[in-house]
Amino acid sequence: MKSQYVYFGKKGYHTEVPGTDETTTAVTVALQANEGGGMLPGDQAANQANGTNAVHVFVRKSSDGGDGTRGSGYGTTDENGLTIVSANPKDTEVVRVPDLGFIWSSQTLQVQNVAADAVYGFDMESDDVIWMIDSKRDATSPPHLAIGADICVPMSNYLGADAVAFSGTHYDGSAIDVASLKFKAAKGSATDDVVHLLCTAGKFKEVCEVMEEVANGNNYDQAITMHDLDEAGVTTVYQGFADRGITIYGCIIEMAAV
Amino acid sequence: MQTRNNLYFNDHATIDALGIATTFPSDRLISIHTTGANAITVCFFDMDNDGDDNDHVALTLTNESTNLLDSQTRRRIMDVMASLANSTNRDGFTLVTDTINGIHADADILSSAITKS
Repeated sequence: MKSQYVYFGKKGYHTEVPGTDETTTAVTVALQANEGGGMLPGDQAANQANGTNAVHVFVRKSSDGGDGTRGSGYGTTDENGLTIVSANPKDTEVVRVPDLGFIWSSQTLQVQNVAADAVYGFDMESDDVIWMIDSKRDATSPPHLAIGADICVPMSNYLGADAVAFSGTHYDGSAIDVASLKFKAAKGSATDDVVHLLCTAGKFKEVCEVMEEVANGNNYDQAITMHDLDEAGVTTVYQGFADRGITIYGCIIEMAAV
Repeated sequence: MQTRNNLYFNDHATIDALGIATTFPSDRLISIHTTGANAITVCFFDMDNDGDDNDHVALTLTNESTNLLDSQTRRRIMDVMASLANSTNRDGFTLVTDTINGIHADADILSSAITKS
């Protein structure tokens, strides 16, 4: 019996408000479980060259009225195109903290404060928001060459989709929901493997349409790439998502060892 | 009438013991995953009908010169597996690996290792 095959490659994505007003200590964010963000970054010492780690770190100031302090190396334009003053952060500004400005230890991110790094440090405040997003497929952000990095599955093993709320937005302010796509478990047991698509909010029905579309595709010679992030940082997304106004922000593959 | 296709794997120089040559019905293929730089694992529902475990075949692929090329080869062989699983071979089965005769379905598939639960 023929079945259309689909392929998903992971892209880790995690955001939270650390809730720490950084004055003398660094803000830390723990990523203890794959399901928490789809990535388990390896340890990285301080002052590594930019691009060492595949996880990009972004910080957005929140509207608490305080400005904190930022290093001198953040230039004059933020990630959303706003004009900024590097060392004088204002509400809503989003900057990417380069590898030079943070360390990883046991899946815990630590943004350096300005006292430790006058160029790329960032004295975050308690309601600032932080994002950690895979920028490429890389050994520094496992699962890389192991279970959880990708899945190629016949649509005949598709069990259904669940709509899940996501606590947070993208750094450009876009609302996000999660569509959890469930497939028969590779282990062969009575459970499921789940692909969590972090996508444009309010588009669950459209995601279900896409799954229906590919299930009834007529391309039996290859698997359809639904989402992939390669080693060069190039993202490939099935056109049916864009056609329906869906942006994929992250792709987390939750499954047991086989 | 349903047309079924079976995928044949032989990972050994003989066919005289359990788990060194098998055919799996392609509609029992669960999923395929990256498990190494030049390795993918193809999972099947257990042929002993054990609902707690799978049978799987690890395919060793060409070890390319860069991680990106490795990734592209793994992805292409997943396409090959999808195509083989969807093919129909009236002569009996679709061959993926045949170590005895040195025949593999694709030049980038170097060897296979069958694990029965």
